[in-house]
Amino acid sequence: MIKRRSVVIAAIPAVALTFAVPFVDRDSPHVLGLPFVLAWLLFWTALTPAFLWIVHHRIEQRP
Amino acid sequence: VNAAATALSITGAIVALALVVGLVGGRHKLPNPSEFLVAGRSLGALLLWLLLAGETYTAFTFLGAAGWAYGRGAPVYYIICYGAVAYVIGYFMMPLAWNAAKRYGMLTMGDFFAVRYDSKLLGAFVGIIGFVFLAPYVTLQMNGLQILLSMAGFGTIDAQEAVIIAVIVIALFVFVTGLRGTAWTSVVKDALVMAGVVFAGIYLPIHFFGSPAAAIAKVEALKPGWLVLSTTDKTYNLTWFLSTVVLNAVAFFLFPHTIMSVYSAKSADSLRRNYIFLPLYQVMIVFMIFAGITALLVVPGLTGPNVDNSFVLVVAKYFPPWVLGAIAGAGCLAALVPVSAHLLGASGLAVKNVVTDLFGWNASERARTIVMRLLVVVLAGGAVVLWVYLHTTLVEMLLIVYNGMAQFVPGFFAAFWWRRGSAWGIASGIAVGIAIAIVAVIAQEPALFGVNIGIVALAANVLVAVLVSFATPPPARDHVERFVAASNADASA
Repeated sequence: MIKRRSVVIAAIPAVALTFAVPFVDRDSPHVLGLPFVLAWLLFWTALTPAFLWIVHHRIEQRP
Repeated sequence: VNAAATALSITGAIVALALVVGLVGGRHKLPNPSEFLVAGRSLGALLLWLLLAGETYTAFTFLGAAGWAYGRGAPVYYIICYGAVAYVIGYFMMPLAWNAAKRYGMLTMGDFFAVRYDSKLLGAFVGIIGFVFLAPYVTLQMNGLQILLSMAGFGTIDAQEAVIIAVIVIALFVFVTGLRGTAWTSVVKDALVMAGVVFAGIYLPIHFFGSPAAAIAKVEALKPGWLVLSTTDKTYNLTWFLSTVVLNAVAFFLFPHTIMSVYSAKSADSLRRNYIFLPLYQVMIVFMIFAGITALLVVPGLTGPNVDNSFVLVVAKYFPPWVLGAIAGAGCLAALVPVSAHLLGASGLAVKNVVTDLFGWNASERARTIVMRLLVVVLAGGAVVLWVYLHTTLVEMLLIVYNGMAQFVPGFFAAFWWRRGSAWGIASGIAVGIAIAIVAVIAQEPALFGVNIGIVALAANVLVAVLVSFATPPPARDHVERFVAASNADASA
């Protein structure tokens, strides 16, 4: 069975990559030379595995 | 001519290498449809990883991402986002589908609907729609092949003939190996595509401008607001962006060939372990955006569908033929691996859900497998003919297909979470959703109040599915309970 806590944690990157985007849709400041919004998307995409890893190893696989 | 010969022989060698790896790795007896279509549910985490990535990231993911960055700017970001969100959904949903598939021996997307809603008619309906919708996808990949081969040939060869040969060869390959071969060719495909993406996205901007950041600064000076969503375009605005990301993320898995690759996993857990790390692949999209931006500065002025050639054009113009040949080879594999999956998907739906379940063809497993294998070759022939004669129609059909495939979403999610859903309800919802998608294309309205029309169709679909479900008898209660319990109980193969 899927645990509620898992869904909440997994939802963080998903929301960052969807509904949060209008709030970070700006050019400056540049981060590593990227427009802020693109740096934001890259950051959260690269971080999504970390959230899913926590869900998998720290929540779903614990009794 | 010499440059063309060099580039094309490199391209050909790359495709040949992938096929040899596929033949050696995929060598296996194919006594039944399960071995042919879903590799006997035997793929461990690593091979599964290669297959899932191999058939998701197509020639058009890459050419298209660079093309959108070149032609539209920031709206291209949607491609980064929907994939990552889809994998989050996949982590939770696909193990449920795998468990149910294992318990009931499902092989196709049609099977899923037929079993859960206890209706072979619904399974055949889903099967026929999925079958028809796969044709434009094959066409799209063939367009990609044509671009790559004609550029690698510097206009000296008939790319159309080369595409036809490539598709027939890949069909024969599928005939011999089934899904296992597709998974193994992905070993070569993924490695080369990754190298190509790093070259295009990191090396190209460094070569011309010193760094990707410098290329970005140049584009922003040239076109202020090009890389921000809210200021670039009237159609492709934030509302469009959000609705498109959501639509593509929920529909991501509901393609006939995608579901089949999910079934091919060895266990529900090998799927989960894959979805944890697959979002990393999305970082490649960011590299392709760099490639598109570089092309915008180096070869400006392309319009229409030509923007998709932009970065290959840069390679052709400024690099030696062997580099072009290698890039084209990686691109050809990125087209051919998905084509092999599409052919398998279409053949499985036709033989299992239509001929066997709907028309009651009663044959041995062995006979059905042979028919499926032959049908793959026949379908490839059919796709080639359609591509040559109905080229434009099929490209227009793609617009319907993108939104059309998403109409399977309500029936899929309801399978686990809404016990009252009936076969007639789900079927009516799908029919209404697809009708809206078709009308929108005819009326040339890609959005309603800025919302992607696919989401509008999906909303109508859900409404109709709920209303009709309440007006028709539900599937047997204990059948549904057994299905839900099975989907939640992790089994292993």
